[in-house]
Amino acid sequence: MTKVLFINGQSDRHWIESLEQTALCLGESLELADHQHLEGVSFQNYALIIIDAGAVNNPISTVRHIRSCNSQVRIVMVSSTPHWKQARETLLAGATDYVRKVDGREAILDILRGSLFRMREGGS
Amino acid sequence: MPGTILLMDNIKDVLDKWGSLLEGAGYRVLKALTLEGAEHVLRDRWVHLAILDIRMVDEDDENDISGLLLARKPDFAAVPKIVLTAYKSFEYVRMVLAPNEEGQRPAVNFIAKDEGPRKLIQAIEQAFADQIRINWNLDIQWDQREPLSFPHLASLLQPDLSNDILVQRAGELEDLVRRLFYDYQQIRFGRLLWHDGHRFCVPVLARSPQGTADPRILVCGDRERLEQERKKLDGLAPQTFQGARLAGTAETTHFGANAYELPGADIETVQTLRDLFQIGKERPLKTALAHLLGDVLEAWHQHGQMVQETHDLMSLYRQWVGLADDDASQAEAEQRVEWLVQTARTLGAVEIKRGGGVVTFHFPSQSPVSYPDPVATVYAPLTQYDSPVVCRASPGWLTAENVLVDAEQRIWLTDFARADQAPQWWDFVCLEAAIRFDLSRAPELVAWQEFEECLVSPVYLHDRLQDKGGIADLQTSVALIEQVRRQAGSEAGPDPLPYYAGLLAWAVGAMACYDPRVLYTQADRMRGVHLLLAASMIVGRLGEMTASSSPQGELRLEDDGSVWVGDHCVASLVGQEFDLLQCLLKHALEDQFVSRQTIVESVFGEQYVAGDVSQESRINSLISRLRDKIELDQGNPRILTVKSKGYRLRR
Repeated sequence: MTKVLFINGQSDRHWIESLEQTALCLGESLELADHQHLEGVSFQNYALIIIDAGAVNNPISTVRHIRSCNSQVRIVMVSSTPHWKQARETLLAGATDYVRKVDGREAILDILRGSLFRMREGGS
Repeated sequence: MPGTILLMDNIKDVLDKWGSLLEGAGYRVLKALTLEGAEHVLRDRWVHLAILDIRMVDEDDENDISGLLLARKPDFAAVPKIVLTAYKSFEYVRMVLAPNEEGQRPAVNFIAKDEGPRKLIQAIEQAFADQIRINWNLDIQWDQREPLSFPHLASLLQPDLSNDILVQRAGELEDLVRRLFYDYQQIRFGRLLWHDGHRFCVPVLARSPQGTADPRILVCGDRERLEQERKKLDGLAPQTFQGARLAGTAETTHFGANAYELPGADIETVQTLRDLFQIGKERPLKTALAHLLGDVLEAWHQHGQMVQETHDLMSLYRQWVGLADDDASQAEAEQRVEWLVQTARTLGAVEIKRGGGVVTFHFPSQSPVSYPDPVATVYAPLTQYDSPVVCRASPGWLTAENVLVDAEQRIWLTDFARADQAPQWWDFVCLEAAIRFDLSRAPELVAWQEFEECLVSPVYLHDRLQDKGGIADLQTSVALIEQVRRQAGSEAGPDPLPYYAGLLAWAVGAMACYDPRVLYTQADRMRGVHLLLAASMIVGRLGEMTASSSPQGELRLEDDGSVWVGDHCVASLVGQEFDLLQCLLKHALEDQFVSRQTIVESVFGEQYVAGDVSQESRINSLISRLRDKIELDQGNPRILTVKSKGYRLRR
């Protein structure tokens, strides 16, 4: 079972539940981390880390920090209000992808499938 | 040093405006108004960076990502790109900057035109520092006795270039070297070790800012070939391989470079096998050859083995020597050989006639000798050999130049471009051919005839070569070839037929490389005629071997590991192979078979576990290796399988 970490602000229960259920359907285990308490998180343990751009104070620094801890992990930033500059800085900081955060199981499935499929294709 | 930048935009005013800004910032700018123009620049010129617009076909079509598609082309992966566009969307950014499965991004940055020139210049400077990484301050020095230059080296890689393109390629090659030695302060090129029209190899001494000197063997050439070479080395080299280790790589549009380190070797005293041979001392040559055969090649051969489905050994050899499997290839080889026959007339030492499938040599004061035509033989299946072909991991194509020898006579291989699974005799064939056709020197063609007679006469690979001692110049060659054959026989079995067939294919392949348009020296032409003589005599020998029978007599194992059948030493065994044959012989004397349990306990020294897959597999492998070495007649085997019980030896 692949481990997926979602870094959020605990404010969007509905989306988290959808993500949790979708991950389970794909056979993945989801863990949650509060963006304010990342110090103790061991990023080495995850294959995919999803960051909610809207819930994290400094998403670019967060990406940079995770990348410095784990050069192989896939990092996907989701944003309800995507912006091209944020996409640029996020990807240049080391994120693997930057996508619109949309409701609905199908949309979440797309995000997970996209990342996990690419991860397996890439052999990591 | 100014960087050279390709700038692509489909609007001329925009192109001129941004072009002027970049030139004002000190860059050389090559402008392209179209995709085709940009592709032309990327393909033919050398640029450090490309700045590309996304919509190159239709400004109003949001699906037009033609500029991005150009950025994604693998051919131009070595050139970092910045996308400069008026269309800002996070979807475009994703397409430009998100890494693919291999972790590569189509571009290194995404700049909106309305962010202004300063932002673009910052992105360019960042790209030069992080991705382009050219060491402009590297002090490059050349060997004073045999000085090289970048135009010379570029012309070795791409010989037919016009002068203006040659200047560009020389600059690109220099940037490649400045990229490869990015962390160094100074490098000094040694003399050219080898080149093959696509790559060259040269030793380089690199000095770091801290003052440490790192010796490297630098192989440069066509980018794709170098990449392929890295993959082959990675996939095929044995883990125990104590040879050259890849220490760094770099790429440009057209060229690639691999820097190898030779752990523990003094690079300043490293020389090619040819250099060592020309010194003329037999002992260091034999020591070096022993290291090559017993340590380096054996490690490769043990690393990987496979059995080809095909029984057509000659077809495999043709592939290895670059002879295609079609009539046109055969016709061309025929023409080249015919040209050599004509060439022989100008040498005066021998008259050669060729026709009706026969080559006839008239040496002065001797009766004419005729042999079947070697080209036809190489293009036909080897009817005497009808077994699945065993292939082993091979470093590729060994030559007198690409095998290096250090002061302690240790061997360093430098060419892995053709590393692959090869017929198990291949590396030995290449080594013998290098000694026989490229290193040996004889005063006249008659001397070659004696030499060739000596080399084609053995019935088994282990047989001593009957050197008549007439030509002092060739005695060392005979001794070295004997050394090569002994190891070949030990690894692949004593049957010389597949070995001779490899030599024949090598010789015909070498003859097919003679281009009548080239002006050859007399020594080159003499070598061509020597190849024809040798190939013809080998074909004659192959014909005799069809009728010959396997050696008769009792099988004996001596304490030194040599295996004898009658009067012939057919193999040399060590380790578990020796122990197994000893065990089989002991039981044969008592007319008993050897059980699998006995093999495990006596030979492996382990406790037998019935049904243990690993033990079963090791027994099968050991039996197979022993059969390869001592079975001379497949139709009359000595090691017989006793079904579900074990093995019995017929002495």
